[in-house]
Amino acid sequence: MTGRRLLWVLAAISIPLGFALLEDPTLTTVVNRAVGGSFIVCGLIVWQHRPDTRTGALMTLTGFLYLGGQVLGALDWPPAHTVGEAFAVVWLAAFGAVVLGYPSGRLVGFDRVLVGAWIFGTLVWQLVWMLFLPGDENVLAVWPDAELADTIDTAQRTFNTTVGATVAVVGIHRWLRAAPALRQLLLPLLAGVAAVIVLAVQSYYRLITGEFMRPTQELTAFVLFLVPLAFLVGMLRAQLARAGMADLIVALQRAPDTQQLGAVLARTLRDPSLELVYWLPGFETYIDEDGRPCPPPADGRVLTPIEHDGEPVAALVHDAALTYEPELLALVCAAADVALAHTRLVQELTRSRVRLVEAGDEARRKIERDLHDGAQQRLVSLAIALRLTEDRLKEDPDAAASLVAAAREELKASLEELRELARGIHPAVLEHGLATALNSLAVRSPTPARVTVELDEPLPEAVELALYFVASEGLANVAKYAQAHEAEIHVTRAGDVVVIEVADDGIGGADGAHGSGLRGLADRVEAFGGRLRVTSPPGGGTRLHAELPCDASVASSR
Amino acid sequence: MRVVIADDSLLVREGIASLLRRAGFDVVAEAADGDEAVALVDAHMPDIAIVDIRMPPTHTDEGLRAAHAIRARHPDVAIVILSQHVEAGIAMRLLAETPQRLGYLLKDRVTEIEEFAASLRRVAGGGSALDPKVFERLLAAQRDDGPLGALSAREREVLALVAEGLSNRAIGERLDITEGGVQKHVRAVFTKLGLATGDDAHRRVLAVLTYLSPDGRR
Repeated sequence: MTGRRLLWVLAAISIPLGFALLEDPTLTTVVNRAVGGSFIVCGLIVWQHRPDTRTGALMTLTGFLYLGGQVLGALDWPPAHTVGEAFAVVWLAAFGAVVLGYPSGRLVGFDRVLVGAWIFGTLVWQLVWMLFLPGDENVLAVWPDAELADTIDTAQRTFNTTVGATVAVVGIHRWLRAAPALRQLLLPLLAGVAAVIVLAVQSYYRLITGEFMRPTQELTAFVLFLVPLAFLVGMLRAQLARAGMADLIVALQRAPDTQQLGAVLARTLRDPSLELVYWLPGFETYIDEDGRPCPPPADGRVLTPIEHDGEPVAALVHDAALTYEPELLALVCAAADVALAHTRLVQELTRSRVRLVEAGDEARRKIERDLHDGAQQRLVSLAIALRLTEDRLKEDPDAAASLVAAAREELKASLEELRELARGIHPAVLEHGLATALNSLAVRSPTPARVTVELDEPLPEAVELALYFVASEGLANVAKYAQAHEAEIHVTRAGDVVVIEVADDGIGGADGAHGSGLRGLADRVEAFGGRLRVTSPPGGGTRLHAELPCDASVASSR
Repeated sequence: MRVVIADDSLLVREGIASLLRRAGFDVVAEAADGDEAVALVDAHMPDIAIVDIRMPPTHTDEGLRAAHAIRARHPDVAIVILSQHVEAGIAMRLLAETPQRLGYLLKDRVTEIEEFAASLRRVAGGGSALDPKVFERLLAAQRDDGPLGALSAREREVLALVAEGLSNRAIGERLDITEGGVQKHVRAVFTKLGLATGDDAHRRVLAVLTYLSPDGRR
């Protein structure tokens, strides 16, 4: 912050100084002198508004290098003049970085090579040249040799011009490769390229003819003066694109379904070709909306993964030009992640609701089956037996008596079955308290079970019922799978949470495979905002651990 | 009259067999599931097969499948399907497929052995037997102000028995009126409901059920 303020002060001094040192003010020289100021002022504004990019800083640097070279070069004091001359053209390298790095100001790959080459060509080579450049004002002139200096100068210009031409080609290529919608965003890049081209043409002309190309020299000054303005406008417009994030959030709220999500993201990033693809964990690949595997992105397109807790969940396949807006891209990815997470939660909730309903249907089906095959069947045979008895009462009283005895047995069995069935539907014993209910579960358990209930006050009925079913399913699993000698049920309260544990000393190794029961329990527990955990190391017994909020409002609000 | 019984509950099967033997039927074989029922019918060629609707292995509609198989192989064998609870939908489907020599009764009916025996004989004689519960259910779903409301109490009784599959003579015996009297009632009922009068008892059943079913009227 203060650094930038200092730069403003420095600009306020050096820019007027530059004009003051101007010897023959013509339109061209004034504009040429204003180029540095233009870069500095625009750069500082960009820097302030887009501190997330390096473009502002690079523009400011370009401006100071440009202006500094001119000001120092205009001073009569030889050391200052020498420094000015040494730094006269290095601004080109900074400018190249601005152009190639636009809009992020970050250089990657070949861009770095180009900028590095230009630093070499404009600074190192310049210093070498000055070692041989004769003149009183050049304190670096160790071996004055006009001819050699001239040769070095020509080679240096040729090199720098070639680098400049390459920069122009790379810039144009980048612009052409961008999606049409993004070309607008990259217009300043084109302006920068135009400036580089003008400089290159001018330089070639001089290399070939040995003379300055007057009209282009004037044109250069104007173009260079205007380029920072183009960058400034472009960067502030990009900031507007970031303001589009606000619209994105609103749009996501309205359209959380995944089909529209891609379209909304494409609009925000102004890349109509943008695609949202989904990560398929088992297959380690991305798939599109229709489930087709997504091929590796073609040239000019980039895949940016969207991660959730470090795991890929989806990705954006988009125009490579967007990587120049990494922060915007990151924001959009974050927003997409939130939207996808929301969708996932809704889906999970829907699935768990469906499972609860299905579990209810299944339970009713089982009750019907039990009634049909059990009590109903017995009662029918009982009715038949009584009918047969009725016929035999007179003619064969002994046979009738044995029929009645059989009927009584049948009736007892029916009653027992009905009792079991009723308990499965709703454990009436819960009305006598959770501890009593759990104890009576333990008594019926084939594996001896111990029950400890540490509760000061009764819990809401629904919570007690959930605890009862956890214990019941837990003990049933112990009996079925655990091969345990004994089991233990422990209920305790920790603040607003009631914890139930069903542990055994059996073989462990339970994996959710025998788990439609466990899944159903988990759904039941999660419906109360609770959690169910199963720890079952092989050989280490199985521990079913469920936590439920005890507060009744949670229980009744499901 | 030769009978094959199929029911997965041994007690029920034996009970029904005892009752039927005492009522003069010749129970020639007993099956515990659908496939066995088909095989035993093949082997014994009874006059009638009594089949429980739910049997192993799935306890859903094995009895219906067995009935279909038996009907396809031996169209002359009468079939009575027994069920713990009767569904009007199943009754409609069965009768629409083959109304002749077909019965669909609540399992409890076997204890009213005289009526049960009468139903078996009726079915074996080419008619149909439908549990009164089916008619009751369908009737309960009717609006009071429809054409049914215009029926007299006696006409309703007659309609119920028509729906069970009874012939005019059987209805007359049941209500203790002459066959001619029954015919008059039936004609009056069918005219009021706008149904075509037929003489086949089983066709009348279907006509009545179709008329009463929620989706039968156009």
